Amino acid sequence: MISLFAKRVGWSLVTVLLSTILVFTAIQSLPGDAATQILGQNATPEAVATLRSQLGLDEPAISRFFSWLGGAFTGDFGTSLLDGKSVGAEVGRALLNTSLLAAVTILVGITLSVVLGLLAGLFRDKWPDATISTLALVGMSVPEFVVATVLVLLFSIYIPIFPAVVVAGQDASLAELLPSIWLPAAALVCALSAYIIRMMRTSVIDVLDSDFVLTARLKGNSTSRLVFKHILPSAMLPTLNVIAMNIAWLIGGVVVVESIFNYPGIGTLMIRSVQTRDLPTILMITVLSALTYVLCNLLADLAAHLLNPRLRFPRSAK
Amino acid sequence: MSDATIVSVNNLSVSYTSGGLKVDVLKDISLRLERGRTLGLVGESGSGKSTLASTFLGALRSGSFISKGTVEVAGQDVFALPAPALRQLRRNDVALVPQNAGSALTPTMRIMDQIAESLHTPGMDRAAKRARAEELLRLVRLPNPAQALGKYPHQFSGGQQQRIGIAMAVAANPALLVLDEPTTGLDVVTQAAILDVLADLQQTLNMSMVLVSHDLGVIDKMCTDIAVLREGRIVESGATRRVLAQPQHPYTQGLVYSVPRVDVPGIPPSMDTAAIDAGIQSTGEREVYVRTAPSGTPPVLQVRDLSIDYRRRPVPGTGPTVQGVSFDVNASEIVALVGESGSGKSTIANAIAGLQRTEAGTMVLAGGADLARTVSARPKGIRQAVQLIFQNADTSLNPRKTVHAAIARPLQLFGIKKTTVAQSLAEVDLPLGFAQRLPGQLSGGQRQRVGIARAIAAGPSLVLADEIVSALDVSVQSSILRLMDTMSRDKGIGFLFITHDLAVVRAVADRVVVLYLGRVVEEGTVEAIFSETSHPYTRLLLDSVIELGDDHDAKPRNVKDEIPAAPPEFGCPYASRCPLVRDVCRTKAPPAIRVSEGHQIMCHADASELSPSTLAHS
Ligand SMILES: Nc1ncnc2c1ncn2[C@@H]1O[C@H](COP(=O)(O)OP(=O)(O)OP(=O)(O)O)[C@@H](O)[C@H]1O
Ligand code: SF4
Ligand SMILES: [Mg+2]
Repeated sequence: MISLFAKRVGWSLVTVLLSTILVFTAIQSLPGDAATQILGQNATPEAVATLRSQLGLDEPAISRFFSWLGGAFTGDFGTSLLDGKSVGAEVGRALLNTSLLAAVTILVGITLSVVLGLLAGLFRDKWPDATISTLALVGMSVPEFVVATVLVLLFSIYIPIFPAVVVAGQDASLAELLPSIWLPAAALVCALSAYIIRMMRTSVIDVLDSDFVLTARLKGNSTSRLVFKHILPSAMLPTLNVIAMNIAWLIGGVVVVESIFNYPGIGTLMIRSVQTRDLPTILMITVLSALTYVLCNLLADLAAHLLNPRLRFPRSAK
Repeated sequence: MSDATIVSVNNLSVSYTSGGLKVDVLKDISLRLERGRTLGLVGESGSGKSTLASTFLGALRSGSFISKGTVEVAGQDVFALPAPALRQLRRNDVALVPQNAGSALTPTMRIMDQIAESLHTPGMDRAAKRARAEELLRLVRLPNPAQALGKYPHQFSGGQQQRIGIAMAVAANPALLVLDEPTTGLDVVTQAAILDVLADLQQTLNMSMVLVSHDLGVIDKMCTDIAVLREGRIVESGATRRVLAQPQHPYTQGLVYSVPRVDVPGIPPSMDTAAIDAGIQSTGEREVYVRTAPSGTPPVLQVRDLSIDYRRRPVPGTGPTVQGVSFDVNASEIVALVGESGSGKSTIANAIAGLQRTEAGTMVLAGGADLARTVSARPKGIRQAVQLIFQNADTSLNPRKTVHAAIARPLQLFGIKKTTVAQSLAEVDLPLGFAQRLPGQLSGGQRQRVGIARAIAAGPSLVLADEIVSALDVSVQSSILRLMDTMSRDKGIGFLFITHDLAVVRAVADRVVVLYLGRVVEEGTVEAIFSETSHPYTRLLLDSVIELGDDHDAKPRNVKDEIPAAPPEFGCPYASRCPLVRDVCRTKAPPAIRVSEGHQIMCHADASELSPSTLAHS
């Protein structure tokens, strides 16, 4: 058991490492580098060459990658090629903002989708199911930038209760950010929930069909006991992985939604860094995204372990 | 309805609609059960037994509805009750033990919580509930009740899960206990133990019971009253002993006559549906077909010292799953491999079929072909010679492929030109028109015939038949047994017939190999095995069989039915349960006692000790 988790953690680290290599090579193979992007089209080759050597870009790619990697292992992610500030501090601040957005999204999104999926399953083929399933289908087929645009139209233009874009910059305080978090969060919740609702609905229906739910019902249990004690734990099990996958996918959605709302988080920073070929920043964001991804999956496994007695108490332990 | 009546069903019809048509599952059922009595519901699969039983709890399969009549339990019209009152009835008055307790226990809840749910006495605190739950588990004789409370369902064996299901059902002291096939799928020893528990419970708790079963022996033992269902109607009912001893309706007669018996050799007659439909009374004779064993035919399979080990590394004190197994199957012969669940029957069959790696020993076909390698590494000729028929014809046939395609496949694969699909169908008595059907359009018995046709079409010399009649109604069992008999004689095929049903063994086998924890404990001709001198384990199996017309009260009660989880490393595998056990049994492998020509028993005891009287299990 322990060794299994150790193995998983090992593989996770390999995943993270591989994704940094992949991103490094990808950025490397894009035309232009930080020097050309900073100086612009009309810069003289001499100026570009000088900046390059200042930024250390004239060293071979391999040695640059390894020196970055060495730093990263000790927690030093280098300085931004753009403004020479510490990448760690800058990404850290953006990460804090994004975490706030993600936390709200995940909390609201998962609760909402589990509850809606459960309702749809329990009221299978009746109106609550029809309504919820249709909404989920819409949520699945409409891309998040459309959802975001519609939300802006509805809630900041027709009924102006939320700001359309975030005016506060990188260093915005919590109080400044909070009012503007709801629209981006809502857009992300839509993207996140659809698949979870569908999965939850299917697994509730499966569980409802099982002998043990029939037996529990014939024991004269109340509906609430039936739902929370007998149905929910078993129905959650297959849903966990879908939840983990969707949270991991959220990373992609965050980039799009943040840039639409100009939200000062990782996504916005990512787009800017790619435009300026700011490799150290991009690489750190890559490490963070990959870590989030593997962490989600690890947590899903851990949760499955807690929910599923078959995993906790293998048969042989009898 | 008087106070003495617990169940009263009045002109009940249950229907569902299919494609706009109303289909009746139950038709005009009326019956009455007095308090303290036990009603048996019997009939073939699909006759409506479970549907009727579940109406006593006010439950119907979704899509079904009551089209006529009422069901009254404890004086209440169950289908007229508002939801809270129905819940009350289910909490206090009737309880169900479902068909398969394994899937009827909630996998994510501890046993304690599942039992506590049924304890409704007001003012009962957690400690009191715990004590009561423990008492209930003791009542159903579950080992280590206190420890069991903290465990989850999957940590128990099938028999133990069934006991837990029963404990859960009787927790609220119900006036009526409904049991749907409570022992189907369990081996004879566990079955006997569980039925004992039920009989005792009924005495102590003064319950009425309804028992659904397709096993007439079980009904005969347990029930005072019986109702025989056919196609949703009650065709005959009354006092169990009288109905089963002198069945009046042709259908009941057919059912009773088609049950194989351990004390009567031979294959019973199959049910003549046409005659029953025409209402023709049977002659009152049970005409069995007695098969004659082939003599002097050469072996088609020789297994020597076979060992199979599932363990990744040796565990001190335990031995490999299968060890030192040797036997032959001769041409034209039907050899039965019997034993409780977990005794390694299927493991051995899978090894012969090449689906399971072996640890040691040899398996050789006629002509010297070696079966050491697994199926993917075996030459075509060997794969053709050894065919396997599975327990569950439902799952072994591809639901989207026609019968024709299923049978044509081995013909193609092995390049057989002589035989056609039509011939194969004819050989298993299926009309040619069946070729275009899908498995879903066949009955269980017909599907099993297709499975046999497919195996036979390959032209094998050895067929491994794993529990092929266990899931079938007795009325179709006989015809499949007859088919096996014909195939063995006409084509010289040797059958290794795996089963836990001793009556079926008596009906069709020529020789028997008795397996316990992966070791052969006795081997001999079918008469020898059913004779007076037996291995203590074989005796336990024979004594646990419950048969129609037995003197059930004279049978041994409350035998120890717990099989150890793993075979011991040394000595006799049966030592932990054996009434004749001595010191040497725990250290030295038992020698073979040759009782007669071709009958040997592996035991340290003296042959004279191996008789029914000395082996009476206390
Ligand atoms: N809602 C329904 N939809 C379709 N078929 C149904 C429905 N309800 C019952 N049936 C059919 O009614 C018949 C009776 O079913 P039931 O489960 O009561 O039989 P049974 O005697 O208990 O059989 P078994 O011995 O296999 O358990 C079966 O053919 C079943 O398929
Ligand atoms: S007497 Fe000994 S060898 Fe014989 S069955 Fe009993 S335990 Fe085994
Ligand atoms: Mg049934």
